[in-house]
Amino acid sequence: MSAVLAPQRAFSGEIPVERRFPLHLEPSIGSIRELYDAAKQARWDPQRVADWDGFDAVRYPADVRDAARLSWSRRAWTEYGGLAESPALIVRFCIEHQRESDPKYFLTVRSTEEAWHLDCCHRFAELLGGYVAAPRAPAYQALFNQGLHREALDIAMPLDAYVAAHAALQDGLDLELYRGYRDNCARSGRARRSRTAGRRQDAARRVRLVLSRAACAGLGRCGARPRSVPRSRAC
Amino acid sequence: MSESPALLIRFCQEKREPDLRFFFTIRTQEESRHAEASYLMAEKLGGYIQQPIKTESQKSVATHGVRKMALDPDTPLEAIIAGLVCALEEFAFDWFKIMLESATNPVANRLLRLILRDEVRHCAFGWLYLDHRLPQMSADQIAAVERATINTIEHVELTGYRVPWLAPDSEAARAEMAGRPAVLGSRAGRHGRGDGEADVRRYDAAHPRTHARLGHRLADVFIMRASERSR
Repeated sequence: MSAVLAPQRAFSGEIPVERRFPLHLEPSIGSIRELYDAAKQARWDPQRVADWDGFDAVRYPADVRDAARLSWSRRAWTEYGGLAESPALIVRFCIEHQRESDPKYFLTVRSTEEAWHLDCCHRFAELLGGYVAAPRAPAYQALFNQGLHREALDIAMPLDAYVAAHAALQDGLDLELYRGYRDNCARSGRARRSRTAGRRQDAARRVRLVLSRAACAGLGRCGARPRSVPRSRAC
Repeated sequence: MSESPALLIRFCQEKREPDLRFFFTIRTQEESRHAEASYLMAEKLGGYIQQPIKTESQKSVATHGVRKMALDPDTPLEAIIAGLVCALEEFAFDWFKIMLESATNPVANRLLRLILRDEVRHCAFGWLYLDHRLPQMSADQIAAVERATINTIEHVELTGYRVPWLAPDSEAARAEMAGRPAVLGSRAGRHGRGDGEADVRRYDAAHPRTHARLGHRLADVFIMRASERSR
């Protein structure tokens, strides 16, 4: 595997300096405030959301178990990126002068949701024979270490551009992937569906957030769907 | 709301124990709901005020370089945890407790009770982590933690971060104090030396190992400095 898999992200070495006041906390982007409220209502607990004790891994052939174990470990690797990226985005929204409060609030919930996703993926990989802590090929490891949090904090990267490119596009892909996972495992029983459902809803909310933000920032014309994603996309 | 995520980034960068990262996502969300609840209450009371009355007071309630420290690899993480999480959250806990005991309005009382519940967990996190880390640290590293803790108390809490009367006397501090209830705004408030000594005993009872190893009593430092200010 080639080392070109590792994207080199430039970092100017500077993050913006905060001017906190006046501190706006009033709702200003109604659609994102709705997402925040929805996220608060839809909270779930990885420890209790599924019948972990009832999952019997030995029902599956060893090769299937190994494949599933790697698959859920791999999902954990991708989810892990969000654990640093979401807080970096919160910090960036907070230090940019006079940014709206709604994305800041929402991103705090998103940060928690990334942790729940990671927790779920790790638990399931463990049940399937053990979480795999790293990809086999070192070059491949770099793919999961993209340092998006640095880019989110970088003064040289306009915040709206970051949101449009990374959050809208990547979370959109994430949503479609999880929709695909759900469809693929639809025949496999309710327990597996319930595990992906919470994560799918989280992803749908995030896509709606960033598209709403993009629309507010005048980025809707860049190809992102303006204002909001139809409710049907929220699974 | 912006300091917790900075620490979370640091935990990820240093590949610290996963429990820290998970807990801090929740803590970030909890700080967010504290801000939201406080905003909603202020709105009900006549309107949220977007900034301190005097520009000079803005520094007291702003970030104090916590984010910068959190992202600075040369500042030991344990020192940040001790100063920001243990010391400041202990004070947050105490201030919220005082306000809770004083609040007769049921809505205010309920909000303060819920915020206090979260702050108890935030405090516990800091002490539990130091309990875990201190046995693995050298005497020099522990001394750095002590210095950082005292520094945080002096440069954050005692600049009027939570209560303006702890700030050095100035026109800005007096302007911030004007109109505040006596229990919050008075130098003769309930946190005199007597109550503080009770706090020290309570802290020591709750965290005997960590306090012994740190060798400093955070509350002692606070009481000493606050008493100097009062005089």
